[in-house]
Amino acid sequence: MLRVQGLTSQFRGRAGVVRAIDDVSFEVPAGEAVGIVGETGSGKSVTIRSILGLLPSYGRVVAGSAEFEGEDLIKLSRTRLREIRGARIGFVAQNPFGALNPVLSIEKQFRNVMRAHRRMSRAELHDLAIERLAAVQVRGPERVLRGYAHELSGGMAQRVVIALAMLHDPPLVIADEPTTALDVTVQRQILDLIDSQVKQGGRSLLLVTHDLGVVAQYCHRVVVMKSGRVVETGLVADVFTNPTHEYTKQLLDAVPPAPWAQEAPGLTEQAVTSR
Amino acid sequence: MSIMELRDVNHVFRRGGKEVHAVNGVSLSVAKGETVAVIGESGSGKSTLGRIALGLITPTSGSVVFDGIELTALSRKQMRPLRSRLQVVFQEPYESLNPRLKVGDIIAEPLIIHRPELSRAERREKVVAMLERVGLTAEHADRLPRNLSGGQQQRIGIARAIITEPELVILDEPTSSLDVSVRARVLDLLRDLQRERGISYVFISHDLATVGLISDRVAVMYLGTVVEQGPTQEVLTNPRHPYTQALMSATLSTVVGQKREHVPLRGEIPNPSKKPTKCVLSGRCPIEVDACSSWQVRLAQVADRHEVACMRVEQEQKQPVELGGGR
Repeated sequence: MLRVQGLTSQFRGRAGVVRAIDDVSFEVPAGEAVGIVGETGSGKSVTIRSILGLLPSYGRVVAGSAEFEGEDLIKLSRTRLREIRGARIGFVAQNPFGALNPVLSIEKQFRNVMRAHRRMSRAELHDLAIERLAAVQVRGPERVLRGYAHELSGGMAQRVVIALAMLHDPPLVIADEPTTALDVTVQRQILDLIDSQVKQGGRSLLLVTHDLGVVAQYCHRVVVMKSGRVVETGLVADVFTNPTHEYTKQLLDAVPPAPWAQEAPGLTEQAVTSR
Repeated sequence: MSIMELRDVNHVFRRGGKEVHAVNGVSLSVAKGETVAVIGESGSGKSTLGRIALGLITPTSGSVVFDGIELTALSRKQMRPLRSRLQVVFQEPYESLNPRLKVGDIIAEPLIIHRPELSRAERREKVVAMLERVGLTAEHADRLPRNLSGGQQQRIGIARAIITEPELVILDEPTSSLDVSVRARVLDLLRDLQRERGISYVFISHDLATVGLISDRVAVMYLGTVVEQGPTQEVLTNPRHPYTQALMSATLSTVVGQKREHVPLRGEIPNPSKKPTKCVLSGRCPIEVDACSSWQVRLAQVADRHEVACMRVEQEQKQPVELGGGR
């Protein structure tokens, strides 16, 4: 579905040129979910922004390719890339309020996303938008369509963003920390939603996250990044049970077990001896 | 003996004619050398509670007693000498450090205020010792906060908090903005300092997994109300309130295939503008029955020192045979 090879990007800054990602290679097979994990500065977001042509003005891809449906996304013109983004690749960003336009009604945003790739009558689009919002479990879709982003809670706003990302039924969905800005109890609802939307459509998913738990529970494959490089990649079942790279081991060890899997939580003993 | 005792604390913010009931009837005590975790999502009132415990906010009603002293009755001036004994570490280390001061000056500042008798050389000596204690070196004293990593910045926040040898430190999400590998080491440091100095902690967090590693007791807050509290091990192994169960099940394991059955809550956290007159989880709860909407929230004991504020659990406790679908 997506084959990234030797992707290298640089940022120009006051201190000179910085190589943000270096020789990044991985694949997203059709129908699979791939997670890119790493800590702050590992280059995970730069990787997907390089693929999507969304680097800031001071950044550019200097080497490598990202092959998608027979084309190299890196070499495409802006116009052609714009045709692919939205229609063939859906994007879900971390902050839904940054992704939605604050001054346009939600319906207008559905219309804009639709019009970017396809003609459709207002009435038809209205019905489709209602159907899609219902599919992502937005309550009162009629009211939401008439309203604006600021009237929505974080979770509802992210559902709207997911509905917009899926509007053209893209075969590939890319999500950049889609639940990091949300409350814990809402996070899991949104992950389950993305998971079911991807599976129902037989789509592929490229998910960027810092949360190893998300990868363990929702992805088939994992790409572990550190300081702009891929340190380990493979099936989640293999990498998480038997990590070969020291850094992957460290990362996995650093995550406390889920609270319901902790054998003896608490510090009772130590607290007693301190008195 | 308890170092901090909150009794029936309520706090209402008034903003533009609107009221926000941030904390409702919370009672909490912290024993010497103990870590009490306060856990909740955004808007649960956990940070407001932390500020009340610090004496930064005077609650609308209720009592806050630190080492036998009623804080709510004190003026700012009377509060000042207590500040060295009652300290805080914030979530965003960089935001909480003065960007124009060198690290050494940041850590020395509380000493200038609270230990004016110290000479410059004595202060410097204490600062260097403290830097080394938190895992940094004397060389860091002349650096600016922005030239340090997030983990190092948080170590400075911790050094500044404990240099006055406080008895209680409020830790407000001290590891939430740190990467996992750094997080574990900062938790280790906090634990070591507690063991060495017998400090009490109030650990405010939204992450049950972290809380399980560091706290002796835990209070789970939702919409300004404590819905469950007890010894950490007991609460984490036997959570009874549906909200605690939902929080627990929301944490994903890194062990492939180790999945906990999801306890789903409907919708999202409502606006806390109304004082709750019924169960706070009403409308989102998976085990709600009609009677819940007229039930006045109260904590009831379910096990030794383990209390839960849920009507279904309370009834189950009384008639364990007839009900029992609540777990």
